Amino acid sequence: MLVSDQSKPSRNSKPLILLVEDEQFLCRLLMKKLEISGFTVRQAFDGESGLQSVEQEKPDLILLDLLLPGIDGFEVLRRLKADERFKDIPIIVLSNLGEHVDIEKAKQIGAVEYLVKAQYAPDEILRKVQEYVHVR
Amino acid sequence: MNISIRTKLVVGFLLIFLLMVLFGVYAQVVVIDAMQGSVGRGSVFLAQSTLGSMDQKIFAKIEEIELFTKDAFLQDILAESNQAFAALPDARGLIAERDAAWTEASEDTVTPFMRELIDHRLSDVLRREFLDFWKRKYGYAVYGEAFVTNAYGANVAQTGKTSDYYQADEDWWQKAHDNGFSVTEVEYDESAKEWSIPISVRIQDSGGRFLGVIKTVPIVQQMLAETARATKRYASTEMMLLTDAGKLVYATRPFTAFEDVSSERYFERLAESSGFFVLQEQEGERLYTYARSSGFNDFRGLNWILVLTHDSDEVFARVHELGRALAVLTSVLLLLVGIFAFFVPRTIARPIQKLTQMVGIVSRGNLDVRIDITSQDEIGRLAAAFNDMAAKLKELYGNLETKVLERTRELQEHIRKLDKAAKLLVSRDLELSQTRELLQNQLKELDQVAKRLVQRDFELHQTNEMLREMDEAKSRFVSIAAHQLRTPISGIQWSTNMLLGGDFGALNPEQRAVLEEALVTINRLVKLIADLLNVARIESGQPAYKFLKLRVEDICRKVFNENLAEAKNREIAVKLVVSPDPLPSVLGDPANLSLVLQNLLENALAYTPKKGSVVMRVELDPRDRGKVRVSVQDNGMGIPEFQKNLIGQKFFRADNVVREQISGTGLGLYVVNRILAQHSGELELESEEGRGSLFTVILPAVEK
Repeated sequence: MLVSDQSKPSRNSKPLILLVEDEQFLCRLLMKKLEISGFTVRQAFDGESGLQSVEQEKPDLILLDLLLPGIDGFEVLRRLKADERFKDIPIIVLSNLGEHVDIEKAKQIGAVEYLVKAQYAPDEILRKVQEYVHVR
Repeated sequence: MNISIRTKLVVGFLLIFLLMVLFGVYAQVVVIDAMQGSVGRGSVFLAQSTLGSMDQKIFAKIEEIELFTKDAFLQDILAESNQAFAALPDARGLIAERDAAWTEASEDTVTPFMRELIDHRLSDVLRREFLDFWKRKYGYAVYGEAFVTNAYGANVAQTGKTSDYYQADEDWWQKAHDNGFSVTEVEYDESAKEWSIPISVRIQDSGGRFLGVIKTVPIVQQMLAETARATKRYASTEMMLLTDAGKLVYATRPFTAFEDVSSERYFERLAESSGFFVLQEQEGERLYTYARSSGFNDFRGLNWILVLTHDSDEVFARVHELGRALAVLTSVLLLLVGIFAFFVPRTIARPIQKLTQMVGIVSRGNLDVRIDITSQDEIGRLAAAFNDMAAKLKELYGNLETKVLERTRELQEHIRKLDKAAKLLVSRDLELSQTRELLQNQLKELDQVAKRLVQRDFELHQTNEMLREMDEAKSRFVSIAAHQLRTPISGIQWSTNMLLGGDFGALNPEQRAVLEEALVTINRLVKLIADLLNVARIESGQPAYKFLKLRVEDICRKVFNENLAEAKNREIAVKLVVSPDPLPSVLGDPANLSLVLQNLLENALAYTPKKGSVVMRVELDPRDRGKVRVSVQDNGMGIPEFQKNLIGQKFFRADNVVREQISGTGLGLYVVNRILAQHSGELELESEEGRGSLFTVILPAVEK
């Protein structure tokens, strides 16, 4: 995960997580959970904003919803994985689309995990995140 | 041309014989000829040499006499006489006179004149020289007489009476005068039975002047007799001496002097100076050889022919022997040849005939006969070889026959089968023709139907499209609906969780209790939605089942592990038993199969009280090795007997669970049944109310 890149170094001591989710309530809950656990969290409510946020501040991990207004999560995923600068960022897909097709597709494009929101409590989501990013 | 061997052989033999005979005859002829020639020539030579010696003797006599003429006394007397006559006026007349007187006298009378001459001194000499001398020497008279004439031809001296006085008119006197000597024809003295050849010689002096002629008469009897002796070569040899004119002078057979043989058959054959020939005579064949006297030096020879004849048989005895021998040989050979010609062709022709016969028999098919010719010759070998061949042929033929029989039988079988098949084919063909007609008619109908079907198909296709679109829309709806539902639920769930977790601060017991209740309710809601989603998905047929070859035991383990937490919560003892035997793979959709097992396990856990036990088992179906069983056994509430068959209905919940207020949607088993139907699987249920339930899933195995 040590990547030298052109974007602004985002470093405070806390790892940065980008949360791309259009449901604000859920965002708020997750943010609370993650920040309690020592992460810095940025949120984006659609795909475009999410990509911009990545440009501005390269995150250590991205939690990505698939059903988004504007460009959907798959497109965001594709673009990020196609970008030399950002393809190494671990992306966990968080979605209520639970079909096998979708899971396969996301994983194929490069998502490291696919979590169905309805099946994972915030604790569990936190644990998954912690597998990929360590709090320093 | 068709000539048999026999004929050829016989002809051959005969030809050879003929050649031999011809040769024999030829040989004989040649030999006889040669011998005749040889003998003839020998004889001729003898005749020639005999005559030759005779001539020689005569010539010797002439020389003798010639020598005598040189005598001085003689010459003086003659010269005297000639002178005397020369002095005479008519010597001729005188001579004629005297001659007349001489010849008048009778034969016995000796006139004084004669006497005078006879007693002349010269006559004495003559007598002494010519008569006495030889008588004394040989014992017999060599000369008969001798007399001398002078140059005028008148006798001067004589040993005895002569027939006349004057000689100059005689042939011999003239010849002697001219040639020096003359030899006259032979004479025969009847009384003395003596042959003589008068020889007259010219007398001349040293100057060559003619003085007179002396005539002597040598007796040739001895000579002739000797000749006869000398020429007797064979017992049958006859000698004849004849003059050129054909007068017999001497012969070994009884003859008369000067016998005329000129008309004899042989005489005309005496054509050459010498030669020989054969004449057929009464007594047999005689070989005649002859020679003419050829003279000696000046002496031209007597005109004599010496003829020697021999009995052919005697002379050619050897040849005739040879001839006879040849004849005998020829006969013998002819016999032999005849025998040969008779037997040999037979020994060849007969076996060959036999052979031919036998070959004919064999070629007509009889392979059992054998030719019984055992001779060691080529024919015998041929016969043996032929027998071999016949034997081999028989064998081959036998084999061939066997094979042919077999094959024929096979072929007959085949033919029979083919026949049957052919008959079948014929009938089929008929059927086919009929069927074809039918089909053609049907085709026409079908054509029309097809047209209609195409139309329908098109319509159906359109309908299908619409249905598919509807289906898709349904799925999408379901999917979206699920998602739409999930999002708010997640919100509720998460917030409740976090509150309970103390993320928003501590809670008092009452707050806690209420939140816990809320969480349970929410979880129930989540389950309901999940089930509804499943049902919707299953009813719409979405998503399409993805059948893979998978191991049932793996899915069991996964589902089992996922439910361990729940089991622990409920304080239920759970156990997973996987059969130690190797389990075959199963064709199935992993997600849906998981769902099936999840539902069964969930139910088991839900309807079993605390301290109960649930056992999941995976094994080969003992009743059917081609099936895999997964069973979930619990010792929970069980299902009431009368409601067992309703248990799979949508939303159905048995009375006992409703009474106990155990939450549930009533959809689980419905889903299980639908999924299993797609997998060609079965669900079996055993249950007793209050004791427990056993749900068994049976799936068909698939070959590796």
